[in-house]
Amino acid sequence: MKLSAIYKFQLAEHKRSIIVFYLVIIATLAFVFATNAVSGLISSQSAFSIQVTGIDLAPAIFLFVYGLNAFKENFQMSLQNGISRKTLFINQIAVDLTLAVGMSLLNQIFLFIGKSMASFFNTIQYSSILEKIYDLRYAGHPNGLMLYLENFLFYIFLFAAFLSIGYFISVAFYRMNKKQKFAYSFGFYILAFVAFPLIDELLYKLGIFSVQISEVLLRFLYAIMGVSAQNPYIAMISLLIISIIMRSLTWLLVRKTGIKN
Amino acid sequence: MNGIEVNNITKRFGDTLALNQVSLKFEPNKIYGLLGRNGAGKSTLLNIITNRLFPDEGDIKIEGLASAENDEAQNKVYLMSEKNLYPDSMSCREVFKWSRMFYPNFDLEYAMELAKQFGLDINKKIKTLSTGFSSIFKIVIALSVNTPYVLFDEPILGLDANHREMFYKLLIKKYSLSPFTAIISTHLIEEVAMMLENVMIIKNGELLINESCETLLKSGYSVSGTAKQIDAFIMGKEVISIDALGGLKTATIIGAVDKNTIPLGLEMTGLDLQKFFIKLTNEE
Amino acid sequence: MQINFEDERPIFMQIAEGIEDAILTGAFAEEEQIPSITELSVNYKINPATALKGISILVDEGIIFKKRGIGMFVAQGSVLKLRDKRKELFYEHYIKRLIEEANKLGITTAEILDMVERGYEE
Repeated sequence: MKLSAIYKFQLAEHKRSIIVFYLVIIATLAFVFATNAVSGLISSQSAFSIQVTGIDLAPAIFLFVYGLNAFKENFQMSLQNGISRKTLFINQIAVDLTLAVGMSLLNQIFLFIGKSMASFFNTIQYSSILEKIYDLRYAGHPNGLMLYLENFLFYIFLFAAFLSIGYFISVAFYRMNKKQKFAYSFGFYILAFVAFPLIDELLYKLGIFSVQISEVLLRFLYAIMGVSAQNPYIAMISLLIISIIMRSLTWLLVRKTGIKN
Repeated sequence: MNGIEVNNITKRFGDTLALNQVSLKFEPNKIYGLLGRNGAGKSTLLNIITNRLFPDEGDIKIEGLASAENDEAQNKVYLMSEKNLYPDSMSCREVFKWSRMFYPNFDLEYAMELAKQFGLDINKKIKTLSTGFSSIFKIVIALSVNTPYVLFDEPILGLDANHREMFYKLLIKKYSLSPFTAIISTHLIEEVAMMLENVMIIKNGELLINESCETLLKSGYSVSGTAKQIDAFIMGKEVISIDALGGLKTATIIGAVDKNTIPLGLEMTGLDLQKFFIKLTNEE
Repeated sequence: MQINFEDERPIFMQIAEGIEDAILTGAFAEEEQIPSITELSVNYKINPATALKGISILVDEGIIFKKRGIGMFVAQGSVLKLRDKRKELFYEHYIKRLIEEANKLGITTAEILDMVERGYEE
């Protein structure tokens, strides 16, 4: 199949930032292992032990930010080159899937290398987030094929969801004027970090609700992520639903978007 | 159906009526002038043709294909817009390279050659280009893209006389060797008038004039002579402008002329298009 | 030759007359190639269709002929042909108006001839 130009363009556009991102990840890991090795040499008592777990979540944050920046430039480039919104939208999904699959694969490679290296240092524990969330499921098989396979699938869905959310915000922001942009971002922070906690606290303290809303939300999150059931597939389905909802909303916004002056 | 058909296009921006029921047709392999003052609606029309904006009413067909959200139709058209839509941080060379990916007939070699002729440094990033070189950069793409319809929105913005001359000559040469439809939107009619086959004048979002350039030139004339002679001659005629210099006067008149009625001592010349255009598009 | 769209004559006429002038002065000799439509239109920044229209007049009159795939050439005998044509125009434009004006002023034919001779002497 002949790859469409806008697909190639979008991948090429972000090649550099992806490479930089992975160089930083590698440098960080190298630093952790190196300092540990050195400290181990200095005091034979093996000074401290480290747990490396968050590193496989880093691409999700990166992809969210990537999504935040993915719309305007590509949209303008598309229209300049006679590419319709529909084609751009479809290709954006293809690009995002490529990134999600590719980076999830890299995650597994990092996990494998990290775990292999950690086995040389008994002071380092290297594990994926999945092993933490679904600890019962993977207990006793820290290097099993099942872990890698489910890990791989899980991150595809997770990355796709983060990309979808970031991209949606990026499109929404393009549609807004300056005032709206300010109002929405400011309003969001006020609502999420000031108003909501205050009201939540108040309702609970006054005895209007017998349980905090944040507590309910957290339980809901646990449920949709399949934590209580210890089933990562529940999480994958939930993440897929989030992606589909976000993409649908995005399409509604992109459909009629015109160029801005 | 060949050409670009614009049917009853209306477009509003808030309370402003940018285009009002505009219908026109661009035929294949002709050079059109789309004239109008700033804000008359020229760019809006070009943006709607190229799917960058949606009309509120009406539709556009490009060789029989609906223009909105249609990759096949849009691949036949290239719009060189006043606003740059290429990524700022890209170099001209990279944009040329990508243009060939999007438009298979883009002539990379010719683009490089043109850049050289204009003195455009293709390694420069787009955001670092001056207004003039930004126009040149876009002209180079427009002349190399080889689509059947090429739309130029204010192509000579910031160009000096020498570069403008180069652009006109390159455009005619390209057109003469392999004809295509060129639509040139500008508010400077004088310089392009002799290249145009048809002239369309837009005023306040409405199509005022859609005529062949030849007919337009025949629609009026100028006479000059002594003030007394001119004053007598223009009685009862539709005069759009009078310039006085000392005792000499030049009047621009609309209407057909019978050469034999012009008295001795008066000198007749063709219609001053720029004056005609200013008069037509002036707010009363 | 000069092309000026403020000239009262249409541009294609100016092109045709410009080429005629060049042939009469010998700038374009008989049997010699003249500039192509592209060269003409690029040089004068005019629409090629306009240049073609001007050239077509000369082709129709047999002053210019086309060689397929090579170009356009000045026909043999075109200088003479043009001179005859211009003489006819000279008569139409100048002599007729001269006689008209002379009749108004009551100038006789002999007087006109005298004037012409005087004009040559000066």
